Amino acid sequence: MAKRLLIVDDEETLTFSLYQSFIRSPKDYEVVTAASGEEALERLSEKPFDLVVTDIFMPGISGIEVLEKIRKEYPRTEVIIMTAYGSQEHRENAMSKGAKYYIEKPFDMKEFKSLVIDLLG
Amino acid sequence: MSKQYKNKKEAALTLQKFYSALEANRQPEEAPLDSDYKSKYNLLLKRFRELEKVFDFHRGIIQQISSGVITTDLNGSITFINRAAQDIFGYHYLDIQGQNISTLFAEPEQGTQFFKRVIKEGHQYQSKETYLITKDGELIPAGFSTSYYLNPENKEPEGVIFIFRNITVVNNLRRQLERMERLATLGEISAGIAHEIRNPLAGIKTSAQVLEESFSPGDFRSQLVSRIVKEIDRSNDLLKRFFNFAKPGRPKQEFQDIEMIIDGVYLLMAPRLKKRNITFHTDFSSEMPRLYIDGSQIEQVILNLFINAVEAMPEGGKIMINTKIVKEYVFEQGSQQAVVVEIADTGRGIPIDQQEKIFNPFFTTKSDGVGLGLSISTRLLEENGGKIEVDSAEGKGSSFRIYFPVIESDTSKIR
Repeated sequence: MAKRLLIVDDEETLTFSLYQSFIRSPKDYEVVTAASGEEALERLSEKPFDLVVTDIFMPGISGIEVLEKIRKEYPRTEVIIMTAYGSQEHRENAMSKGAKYYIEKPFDMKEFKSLVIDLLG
Repeated sequence: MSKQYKNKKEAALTLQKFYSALEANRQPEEAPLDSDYKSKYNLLLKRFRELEKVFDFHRGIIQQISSGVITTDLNGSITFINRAAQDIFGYHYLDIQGQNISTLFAEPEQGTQFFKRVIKEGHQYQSKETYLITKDGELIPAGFSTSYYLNPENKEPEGVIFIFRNITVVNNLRRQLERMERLATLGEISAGIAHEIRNPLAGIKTSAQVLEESFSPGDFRSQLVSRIVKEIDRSNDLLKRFFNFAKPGRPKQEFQDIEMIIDGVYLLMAPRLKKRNITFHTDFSSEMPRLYIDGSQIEQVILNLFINAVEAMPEGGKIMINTKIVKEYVFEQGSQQAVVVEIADTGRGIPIDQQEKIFNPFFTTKSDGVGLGLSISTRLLEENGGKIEVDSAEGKGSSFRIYFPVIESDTSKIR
């Protein structure tokens, strides 16, 4: 069964390009995008995901809140946090709340993919 | 006032002599007359002692007050200078009596103007800031106030009283605070903008890289896209430097040997110094306490100052670093013992009108500079409780002094 990946960011150019990249990848991933924390929780409630990659700062529910909700309600779903507001505090906060990886935007696609492959195989 | 006092004193002394003489010649039968004189004499003596007391009291205040007090006549000739003023200017009372007050101003012309306003317009200055000049030609920032000295009888102005304070320390602290406020505001703005730019940058970079995946490596389109990515990375590096400036990481403070840090920076810079024909000299204090600082942040500050020094000397020159302890330096939390690290060069120097601007973010005189070095250094020092000052003479060189508070609890001396 294809691994399910949810990409959450209000920056649609980013979600669009990541989507385009993953659907062309030789890996058989099922990729879904969401433009807000609310939308992400809705997608999660419809069908479980193996991995959620989320931005932190979005209007409405933040990526950290999404992370907390996932850790509580979907323990099998891994989370990667990405943010343009890179700082040690954000990293520590994300990791302590159970994110698997923390990555600063803009990132390198190769690096990003290797993190995804590491978690999804 | 002193003239009046002198007159009274002389009068009293004359009287005293007169009565002593009387006493010597007095006849027993003249007792009633004598007792009348005697009581008047005693009364006078009592009044005189009271006057003397009041005089001493006032003189004590004038002499011991920490502000400088100078009086002049209505032409501006100095008639009196108190102890604090003598200390500030380095003049003795006798050297300066009769000299015109304007000669004490760094710009005598300005001093004359001030005096004219006081005399002609009846203006009273309140904490007016100016520069005064000492006997040795040193300029002192000072704040002064003026008032009239009135004739006690007819209440007509008889002279002018100048009261002033050396405001070097106050100015220094104020300048440092202003600098910090400016940096903090600009820091917040630039960090906010930088973050907002980083988001779309992430979208552009990812799109470019996904696009790149669809071209074969030799394709010119692939080369174009990789250039886009390279430029995005360059912009991002710049943005990251803004973050560092806006929000330096929390310092991990430990007791550190500042001289080890300086040596480390020197080793890093040694090849460049050699290439530029720059010699390096140190003069380290033998009794240096360890400093409670984040070693890598302070290393960055010293490296920055080193790089600036090197770049100020394209024709070669000298870098001199010395460390010493000063008994007192005014930090925000108050005045305390401090370690000073001075980094001096023999480079081109900084024009006086730029000496404050160099701490502004984005101010640069280098063609390839961003202008963040000194502002980041100031921020890092602030995080570590330190301060920075500059002295520079165009064509001669610059000297940066960084001050760190000595933390009492560390009694361990290095040597």
